Amino acid sequence: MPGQFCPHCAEQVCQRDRYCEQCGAWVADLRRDRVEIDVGVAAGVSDRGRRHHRNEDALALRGSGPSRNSAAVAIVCDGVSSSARPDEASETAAEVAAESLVTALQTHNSPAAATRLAIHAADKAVAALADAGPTGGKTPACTFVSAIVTGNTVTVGWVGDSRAYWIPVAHANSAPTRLTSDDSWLAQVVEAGILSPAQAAADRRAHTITAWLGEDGQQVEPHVVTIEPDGPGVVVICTDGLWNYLDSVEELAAAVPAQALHDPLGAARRLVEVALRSGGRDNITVAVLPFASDLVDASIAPHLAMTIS
Amino acid sequence: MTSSTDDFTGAVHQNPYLAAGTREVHAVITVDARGNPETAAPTAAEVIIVDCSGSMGFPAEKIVKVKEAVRAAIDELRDGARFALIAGSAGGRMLWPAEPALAVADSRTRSQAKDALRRLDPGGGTTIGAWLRLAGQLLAEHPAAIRHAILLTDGRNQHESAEQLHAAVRDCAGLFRCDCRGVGTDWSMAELRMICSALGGTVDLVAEPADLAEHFRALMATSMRKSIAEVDLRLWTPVGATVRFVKQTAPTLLALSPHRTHVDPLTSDYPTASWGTESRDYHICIDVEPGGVGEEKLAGRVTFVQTGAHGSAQRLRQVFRHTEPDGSTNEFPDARIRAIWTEDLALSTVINDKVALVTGRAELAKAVQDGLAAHRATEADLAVDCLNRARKLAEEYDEDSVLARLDRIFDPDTGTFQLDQLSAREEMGLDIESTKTTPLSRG
Repeated sequence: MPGQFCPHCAEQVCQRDRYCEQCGAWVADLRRDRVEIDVGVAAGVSDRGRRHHRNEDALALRGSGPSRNSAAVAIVCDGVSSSARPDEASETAAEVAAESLVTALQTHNSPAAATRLAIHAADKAVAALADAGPTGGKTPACTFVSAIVTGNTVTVGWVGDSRAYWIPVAHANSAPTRLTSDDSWLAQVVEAGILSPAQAAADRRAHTITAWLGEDGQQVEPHVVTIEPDGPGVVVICTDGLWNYLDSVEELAAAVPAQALHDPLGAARRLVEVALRSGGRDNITVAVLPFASDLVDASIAPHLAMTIS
Repeated sequence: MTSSTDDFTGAVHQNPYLAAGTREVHAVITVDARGNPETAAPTAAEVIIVDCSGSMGFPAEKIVKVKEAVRAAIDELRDGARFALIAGSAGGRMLWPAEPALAVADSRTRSQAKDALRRLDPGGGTTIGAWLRLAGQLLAEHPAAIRHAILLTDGRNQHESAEQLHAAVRDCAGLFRCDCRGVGTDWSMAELRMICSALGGTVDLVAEPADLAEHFRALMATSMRKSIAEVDLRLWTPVGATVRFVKQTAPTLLALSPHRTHVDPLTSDYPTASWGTESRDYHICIDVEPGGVGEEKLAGRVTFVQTGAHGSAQRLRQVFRHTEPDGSTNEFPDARIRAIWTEDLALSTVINDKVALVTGRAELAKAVQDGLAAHRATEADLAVDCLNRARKLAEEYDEDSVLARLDRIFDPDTGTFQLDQLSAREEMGLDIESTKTTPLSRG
């Protein structure tokens, strides 16, 4: 990234820590502090939040285009704060996975197979970061969640505690659903029946994740789920910066605006705003992907029709 | 979780939030150094300065124990270390070797030095400045070594002026570290404290001559373990900032601000002398130009550098843990002291617990010293007020050894202190104890 200058005294800003070398002022990273991406068939927002010093979340979206006759693709990653260079880890994972997904879909892999390939590619790329700069003994790591929306399926893949939700529009028959289960200490002790959800949530280990991308000597195990919705709705994928404030699927669904199907960027902005208003203690990243066969057929473009066998 | 190659592992403790418009930033930096004796430890250069003025002959046992103590220190010298003994009376003279230079320690030179020690007879005055100058002259020849002196005295600097002593100390600053030990109770706490503060060392009371040998053995053993020479705490502050103070808060209270040297307009170095495998804590207070609400500034950046014999500074390998207000942690290769302005009083009024602890301990030391000063000035009421406050602070901050000493003269029935029962020895012991601190927990 090219050097940035301090708006207060026009001196060089230290690239490593973003403080002005003359007046000490902290200068925002214009590239990462607030990211909004709208590719038409999906949109997303990533925000530094109100407490953190930098945005260690990353967001990547790929929309359909004439040359990429596939679907809407979104990836959200959350850099593990206690790891080295978590911001680089999440950005690398999101971008590598996005490219991998697009290529895999173009070469006629199923969305589920493409997701697995993408997660492995991202894992490898994050692990490789350990050799590319200082780690202070701790290797770069991040979470991962992806969504692929085609004409008739929704496929999500994840590692860690970033989540995906299926939110049908109000008049549809199906109920809002969380599609992911967290790779976290909390989820494990609750599932094992050791602690109640309330007891586990009060524990300091509640947010400790049990799986991530990046070198830790273990092969990453992607979770992949595909659903075939019977009506229109939106897929929301997000980091814990959002779901910390909207833990139940009902709360989250209630916060999704009615216009989400037609205005995914507005919906993503709205959800990020909810987290910011609630305190914004962590970085917040949300992507919204509309699913509606009538939209696909009628309003967006003919190339959204799935060509995957 | 740090790399195995770091010499210094530290942590920054602070509440970065400031009320809108305010400028005072506090931070505590804890540092754990790991000296590596296997990687070409620099040579040690040691000078032992033994007061042999007339008073050392009374009682007769005193000089016997002093010689025993110096012998114990000589035995701790490792082979290859440079050393010399100075006999201090009216002027300093070489006790061993005869010529004004340091000898190389081996079994032969050690026993020669001990032989020379036998011939030491008390007589003459006390001129500490002259003794230090001679030590400085010897140690100046060994700029690459870890240079250290042990000064033992039983009396006040009576045979030269205070100006002479101050001038000598000024000239020796930066040349060597000096640990001072006062035997008996006729020496001046103020004089030895001034020397140690300027030269970077410790001062302690050895009330019983019989305890001297153990003190000297420990001092020399500690010195032999120092393997990182001439370390400076380097502090960068932004334009418009003023450094209020830089204090070492453990293992002893020591003001570093008076010894700062300017590197460039925004950067100063504060000498911390040589390090072994040890822990120290620092309290730094900086005034910065207030930023707007919601803005953040770097109020200070601390690194530890080593000033080589050639004068250039080299960065030591170091890593510092930073805890965000939400409990998450980051590690950086420098210690960053931050300021974030907020209108949220719930954020800005929180005092970091480690900052509170070092502040409380400094208040305790001041209360003890103010109390003792009032006692010496025969202002009994003021002395009792100060010591009562000290007692409360000692309880609050778990300074058990100070509390124990205060309790020896505290009358719980009347809630007052029996100052007439405070012996000179107790008084000096309490004074010293108030400046000794345990490093903060590293959790």
